[in-house]
Amino acid sequence: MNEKISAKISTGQMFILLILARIMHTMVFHSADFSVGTYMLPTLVVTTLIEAALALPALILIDGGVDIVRELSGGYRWIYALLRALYSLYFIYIATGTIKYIAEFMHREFRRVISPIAVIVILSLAAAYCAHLGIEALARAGTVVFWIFIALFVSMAAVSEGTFNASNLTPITGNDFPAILDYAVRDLSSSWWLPMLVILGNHLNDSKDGAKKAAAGYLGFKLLMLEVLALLIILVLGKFADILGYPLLALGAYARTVFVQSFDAVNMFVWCMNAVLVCGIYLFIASDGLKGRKHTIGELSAMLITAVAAILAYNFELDFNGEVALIIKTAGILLLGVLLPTVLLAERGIRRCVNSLQ
Amino acid sequence: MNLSLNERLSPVLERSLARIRELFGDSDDLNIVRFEASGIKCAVLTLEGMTSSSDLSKMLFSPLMDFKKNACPAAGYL
Amino acid sequence: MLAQPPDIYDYLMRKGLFSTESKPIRSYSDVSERLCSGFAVVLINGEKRGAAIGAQGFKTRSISEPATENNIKGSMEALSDNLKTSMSLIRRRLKSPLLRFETLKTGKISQTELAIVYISGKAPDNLVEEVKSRLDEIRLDIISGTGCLEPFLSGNSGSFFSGCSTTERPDTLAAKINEGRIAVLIDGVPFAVVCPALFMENFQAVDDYEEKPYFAFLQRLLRYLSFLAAGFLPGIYLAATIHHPEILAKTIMTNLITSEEDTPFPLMLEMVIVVVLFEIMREAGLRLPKAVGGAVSIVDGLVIGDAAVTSGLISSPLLIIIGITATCSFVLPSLNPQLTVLRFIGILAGGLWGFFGMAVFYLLVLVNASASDCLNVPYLSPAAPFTMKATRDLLWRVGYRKMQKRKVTIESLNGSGRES
Repeated sequence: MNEKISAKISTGQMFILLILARIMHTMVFHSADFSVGTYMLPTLVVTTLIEAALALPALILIDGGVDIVRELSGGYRWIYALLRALYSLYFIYIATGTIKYIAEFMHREFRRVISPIAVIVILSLAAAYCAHLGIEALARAGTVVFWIFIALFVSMAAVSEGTFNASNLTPITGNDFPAILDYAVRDLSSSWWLPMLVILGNHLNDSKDGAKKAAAGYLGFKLLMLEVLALLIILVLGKFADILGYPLLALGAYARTVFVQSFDAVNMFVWCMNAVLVCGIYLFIASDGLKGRKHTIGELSAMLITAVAAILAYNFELDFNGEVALIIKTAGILLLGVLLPTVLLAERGIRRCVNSLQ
Repeated sequence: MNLSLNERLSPVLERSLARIRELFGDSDDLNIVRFEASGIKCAVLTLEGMTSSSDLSKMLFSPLMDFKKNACPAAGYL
Repeated sequence: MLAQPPDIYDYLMRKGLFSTESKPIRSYSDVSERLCSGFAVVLINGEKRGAAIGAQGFKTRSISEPATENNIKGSMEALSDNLKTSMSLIRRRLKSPLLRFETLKTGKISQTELAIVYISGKAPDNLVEEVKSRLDEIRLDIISGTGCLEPFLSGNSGSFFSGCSTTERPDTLAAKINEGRIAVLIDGVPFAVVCPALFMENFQAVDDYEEKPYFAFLQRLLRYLSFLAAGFLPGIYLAATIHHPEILAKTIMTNLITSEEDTPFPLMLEMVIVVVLFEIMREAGLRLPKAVGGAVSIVDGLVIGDAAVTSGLISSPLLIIIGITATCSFVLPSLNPQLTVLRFIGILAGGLWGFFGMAVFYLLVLVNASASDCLNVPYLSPAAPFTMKATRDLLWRVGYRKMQKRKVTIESLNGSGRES
């Protein structure tokens, strides 16, 4: 295995990495923290459009072959280190949240199997190893995991015994407005694909409009997937989704075959595979910024920080879905995914104007 | 053994043979056959079991024994 | 006029037609090299050059059937221990001047002759140079087999899977180098090392190409299924019965519980014992002289297997699982080392941490396999990175008519910068 810092991934693989991160988030972050309703469906369309608009500065720059962070730092090493550290901290935060929620998920649904601290430690070690192997390996493995997800979804849908209850589709009223706002904010605050795209942009290979295609694919697939899932939850589970811990797991509970009576553990299996991979991506991003003289120092420190933070978060039950967390997440997305590219675009525009005036 | 392997062969046959025997440590599978071709002493060295003796006698020994300076070598063999 | 020593030398080297190979000898190292390769060395008194005449006639094993790669309808010839014979077997199958052999010697004491085989125009030039330079780096004393060359050729030290494949059959070898791969023949070993290797090659067999494509599809599916069963079935069984009993249907569950209740050992220990016993039996079957072979099957089958179950020490569902696993592992002999290790780690991960442990473990193996590349060709192509054109041999076998039109080469499978 050759460690290539300049490893390149293709458009399709970038799309897969982004969408796997989103799937991970959908599975585990949303757990009994919000209520479902028909209002979710149009809200998703609006938020996706907003995300598309926000992504434009970054897409223009990445497709122009620009390494955004490096150009912004303008040759000053301390600015570069500072910006990279910001990205690292943000993604360590996200990774900590993800690991903490997985530990909680395991504790709630599979109590006897493994202790939460063991989950955290194992996940951190595994993610660090994956990060060590590089982004290409993660992208290739991601392709396989993506197809496993599709296979899982299709097979569960095929053997599902759930029935659709059309009366669950209550019409949207004016009372729903706070819930709409809440859901929109939650959805937007979980679009950290923007900073991911910005920081992984220089790993994208030189195909034409690669970033735009990956972003378009991501947005389209995310919209489709979330709409379908929301529709299924509403139709099949209705108001029960408010009290269930993990609505997607409950959806899976309707699937039954001769051999396998309950698909809970199968779901958990695939989600945990995805979790290791996605945390590996986050740690890969994070370790690049904490690089010391050797690449492994960055990885080890990122892993340790994440593991310790996750254990602390689990013990003190830090909420990654509460208001403070939402503010941090949204701020990170706006700063790292939207503001920095916009600043760079403005800088280039000004420079061009100045050059053309001379 | 103070024999450098890149040392050139000696024109004196006995010295070369002595050196080669030293090189192989007088190993028992080294065969040395001496003969005279047209009055000049020659030697053929083989390692046991590596060469086909029927091929050797047909190809090498018979023509060499009959060697004369202007003789056409291929006539009898082919 | 009497003959002079230089005349004899000229006669031997130039005017006479003694053998297809005549080489001049100037130093003692030449003497030892030529003698050890089966030449006859002629020394002339008064002439400081000697002549080496090729008259090799050492005895070698004649061309025999392949011992490990069996098939029903294909050719029954296997590569030979002798390098020149192997080279001739390949040359007879690929009668094209594009087929190239490049020999070199490795091993400080063994001075083993290696031959690099490739088809010029199909194998990328930089790959051939890369292979040559990697072989030049070897500083071993003796080259004892294909295992000596594989680490140097594949260059991925941390990888779980091997980056090079070995084959005993000249027809397989010809097919592989036709795709642009490079093979290395070793004098004294009837196996050839082919690099780069892909994961999906382990699931291709000669017979796939003898029957119709739909049958090949079925066979490939069975082989992939065997791979999953051989590596992961014991772990899944342990995880399901110990940690996730709610998965299994009620009737299966009651069956398992009643048989497990009667056995004294905890389930994980039982599984470890049975798997270790199976590995020991397999090893014994390999090492035993043929004459005693029958005794092994009696001991294994009756004494250990039957008696263990009837005495109640080991439950029969466990033995069924192991039987299925063992049979499935025989379907893929080239992956046997990896499957054995996967099985053991799967038992530990599944027994201790249920499906969570297995999920983490499988993903680590997947990422490790994704990261391995031999000579810059990703190990998991064409599945990941996904190359549409190259998937023609992944699950099904493309028809021969279509194969005439499309060309898939190693260059198009290259990742690292050209992933598409």
